[in-house]
Amino acid sequence: MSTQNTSIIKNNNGAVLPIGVIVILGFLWALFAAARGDDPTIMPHAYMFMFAFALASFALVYGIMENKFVYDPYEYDDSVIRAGVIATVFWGIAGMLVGVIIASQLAFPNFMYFENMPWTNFGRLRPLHTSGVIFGFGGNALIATSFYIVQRTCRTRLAGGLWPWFVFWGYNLFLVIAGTGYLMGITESKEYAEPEWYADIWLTIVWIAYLMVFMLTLVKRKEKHIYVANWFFLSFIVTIALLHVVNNLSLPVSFLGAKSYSAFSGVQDAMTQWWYGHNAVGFFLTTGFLGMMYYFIPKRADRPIWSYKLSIVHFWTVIFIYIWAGPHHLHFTALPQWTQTMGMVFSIMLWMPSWGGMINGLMTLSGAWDKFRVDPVLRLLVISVAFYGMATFEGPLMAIRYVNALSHYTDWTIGHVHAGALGWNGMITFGALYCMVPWLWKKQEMYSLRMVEWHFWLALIGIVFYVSAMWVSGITQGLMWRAYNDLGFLEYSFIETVKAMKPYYIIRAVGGALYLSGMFVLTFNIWMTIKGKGGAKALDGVQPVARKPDPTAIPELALGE
Amino acid sequence: MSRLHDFMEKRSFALLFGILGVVSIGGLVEIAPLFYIDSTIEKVEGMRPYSPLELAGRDIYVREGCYLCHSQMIRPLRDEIERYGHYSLAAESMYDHPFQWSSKRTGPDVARVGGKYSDEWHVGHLSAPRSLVPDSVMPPYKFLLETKLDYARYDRNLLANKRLGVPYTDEMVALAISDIETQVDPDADDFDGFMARYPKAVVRNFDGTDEITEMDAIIAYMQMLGTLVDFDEYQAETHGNER
Amino acid sequence: MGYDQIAYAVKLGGTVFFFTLLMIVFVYVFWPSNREKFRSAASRPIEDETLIPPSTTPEGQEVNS
Repeated sequence: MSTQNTSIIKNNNGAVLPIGVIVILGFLWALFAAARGDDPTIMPHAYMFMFAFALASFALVYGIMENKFVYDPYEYDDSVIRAGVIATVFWGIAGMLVGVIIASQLAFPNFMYFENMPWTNFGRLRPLHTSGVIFGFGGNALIATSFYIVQRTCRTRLAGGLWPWFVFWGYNLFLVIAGTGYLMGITESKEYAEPEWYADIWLTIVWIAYLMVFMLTLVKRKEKHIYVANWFFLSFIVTIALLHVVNNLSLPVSFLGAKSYSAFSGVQDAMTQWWYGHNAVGFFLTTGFLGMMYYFIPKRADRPIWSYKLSIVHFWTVIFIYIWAGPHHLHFTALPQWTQTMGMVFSIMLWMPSWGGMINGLMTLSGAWDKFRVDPVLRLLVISVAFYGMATFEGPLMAIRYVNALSHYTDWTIGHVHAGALGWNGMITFGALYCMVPWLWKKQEMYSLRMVEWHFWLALIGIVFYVSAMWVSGITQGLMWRAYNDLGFLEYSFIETVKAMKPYYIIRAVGGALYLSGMFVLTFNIWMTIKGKGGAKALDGVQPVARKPDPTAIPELALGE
Repeated sequence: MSRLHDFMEKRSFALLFGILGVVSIGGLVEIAPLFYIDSTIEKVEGMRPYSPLELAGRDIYVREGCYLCHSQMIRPLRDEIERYGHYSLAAESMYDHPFQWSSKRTGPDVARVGGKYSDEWHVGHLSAPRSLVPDSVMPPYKFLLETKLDYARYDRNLLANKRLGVPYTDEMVALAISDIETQVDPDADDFDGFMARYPKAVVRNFDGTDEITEMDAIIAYMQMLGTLVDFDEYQAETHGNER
Repeated sequence: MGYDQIAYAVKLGGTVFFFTLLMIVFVYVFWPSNREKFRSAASRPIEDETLIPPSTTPEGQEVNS
């Protein structure tokens, strides 16, 4: 809140020099790659880096000369979070749209069929979908909410001045490089870690900056105790750094070319990859989003966390156990059996701390369940936790060796992942966006809560279509692969099992399209809120926080039920 | 005990290192031993590094994201062994930087696809999958036939693999480019030398055109997959090969 | 090192480490003097959102707390 001391205006010019050095070094590398590189595939990326870094240098110089980097130390640093919200929406639409396209390609293989346009093929679009939704949509949401939450719960302004902006732009530059790279066939082929070595190095720099911004904000906090949501965010940031660096160790063929070869090979490479892959789920999609849960659910429900003790116990157990569970992706492979067994045992153990989080999230509503009925934003948040509980029950089940023998390589895995991604990560992000947007743009509420209601049902029905189709197709195909006829021969050729998938692939594409349409509803609603239409009336300027949801204040919804 | 935790939470860096300590253990225990326990990789005869053309084909396999729908890891389950062949050994992917085991079979496993189909079948199938397999959902790869393989500096790719521990000799690296040309030409001068360097390699004009195309490379790779280890001689029960 | 030794070491070490970690966490969360801290922390998100202003010196430099 602004007080009589607003005359003290500070500036962030101190961060310009170190950021400028990074930007100039990056520019020089890109210049060399463009001028001297003998690998034509890296050229577009070299020019993109040059363009981005030139733009950044210009912005830095302009900002210094025009004295643009001033700020009021009595305000939270919300501008970068507003940018993060917009980036989240953008990547959500892009990533989910590509998802619907590739789902349609599997259902109708002549959809987007161009025999001489390799970038329209499933194999190149699929990483764009996964990275777009996980790192584009999820990553931007995590950066934005972590910056939002760490400031509020530490009662202090974000540390680092311009560095949060470096994190935002740097991260989104990484996403653009990664995404365009997939379309051009630039990939390391490690699932969810596909970008090539130079994009990986760039992300490492950005991620270290992110870690430092977050850490230094914690260091200068005004509250003695670090609020538990920040524990989850910190474990997410630091563990992802560790996973990213180790899994992406590779040797470039040339330091001015795109191609590199993984430092590990065969079985060690597989283990490293799934140690990474599983913990990208564990620390990116779980602990990061639990950080969101531990802020937005109590905030929106206006209730304290049900059990703070439970949150601490399940924090340490979740982060300890998760790391071991990776080998369940490699059951019955050439990975040594002892490693597979360990992965299975820890995966089953993981069920309990996961449900600790779910119970804590759901029970926070005790005494406030009426709000669940009338407030669609809170309902998105709470249903997401229910999906989290469902996915973390299904996960341990699928990690059992003999269940996995059936489920592995089939669509069951895809269904499981999407129950978590669409249900848990997607819905909690929607809920967080619907909470944050009015608060960030200083409005009383969203433009339309009825549209939130629509979004909720579109998303929910989309998930039901998607996940149930994948359960049926996965189990059907798994059983068909191992079916024998009376004479003791395999009953089905492989292609017959592909043919049988067609109806489920159509249902899946429809489910995905419904979910995507909900995303469009969200975009429109956020756009109108920012413009201050409908329920998004401006705050009167005294109270810097949007009013907390009050069931009696939304009569049309109460009646609508 | 309580003091320890107070210490950790009041000092955010202590919390950071606490988290790092807790999350490092699992990875260390599960990954590190794989590098030094001998039994991780079986002792087999016949494994050799990829020939330059096969490696280039493998690069294309990676580039096009084939691994997103095709596995290269046959599990020791009755139906998979009958459908695809002997279960995959760790040794068979020991020179694979990166591994291509995959996690999804939208299409069939290709770990032992080598020699199962003719080159012509592969050219036709990759160019227009549904012309040969009507119910296939595979995308088309006709452009491979029309793209010349860029191998002018391909020795560097072998060198990178050599530096990562793949047993390429200096001779193999030096001859990488001519070896690519040799592998598509059975009448080439250095045929015998090439076969000595890369035993069991298939030498053919894979795509039937005069150019060395990306189609040549990917088919050379497909046709050698799973053909190196002679399973008549493999001793699954030998100590060190048990799983 | 063979399979059996690895398995044994991992099982024993893992169990001991996990049990110790769990005990530390339990002692911490049930330590009586922490009760009040957790009670107030649980309501942190729903408390008023005002930023606590940085203490400032005449130069406008922030004092590290």
